[in-house]
Amino acid sequence: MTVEALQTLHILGIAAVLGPALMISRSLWGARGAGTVQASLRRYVPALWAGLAVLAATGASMIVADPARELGNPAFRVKLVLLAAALVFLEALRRAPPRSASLKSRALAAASFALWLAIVAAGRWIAYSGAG
Amino acid sequence: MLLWLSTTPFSVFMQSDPWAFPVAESVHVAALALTVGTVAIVDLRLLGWAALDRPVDELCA
Repeated sequence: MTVEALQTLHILGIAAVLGPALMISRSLWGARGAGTVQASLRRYVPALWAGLAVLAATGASMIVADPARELGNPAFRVKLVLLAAALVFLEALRRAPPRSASLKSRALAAASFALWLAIVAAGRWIAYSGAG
Repeated sequence: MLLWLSTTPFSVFMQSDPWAFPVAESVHVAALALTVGTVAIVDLRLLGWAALDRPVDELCA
């Protein structure tokens, strides 16, 4: 598979993660009609993981295709750290969902969604921050 | 016309600023993913393939 095809699938994988991530954050925020955090997690976490699986497979393929481009790239390392933080947050949310619509839950909702967006930005930055 | 466009101040900014292009790309990819992601959620419901316990009215509210 060409790198272009892998990149296209990678972006579709991003869509499969950001859609569910937005819905989970909306319920945590307490948005109207978003449902409870528990219901939202039950509904959207499977799709989010499916998206992550696509991202891991296509991402790993792109690393193998050009290891020097990613490994050792500062943006890639930042991306992995942010990804780990997002996954830890998701797991913490699953274990102890906070009451939605509180000030704390709204801050967490905004922060966790911003984290996913930062991961996307860090991924795009790989093209610019590497040694080449 | 292409030549004119590439000499406008905004074009020069997009070409020369080291952050402008990567930032635009990042926002573009994130917005694209959010569009496709949320459309997919609604479309899967409309197709009757997912979230059948949830009314369309509520999902689209």
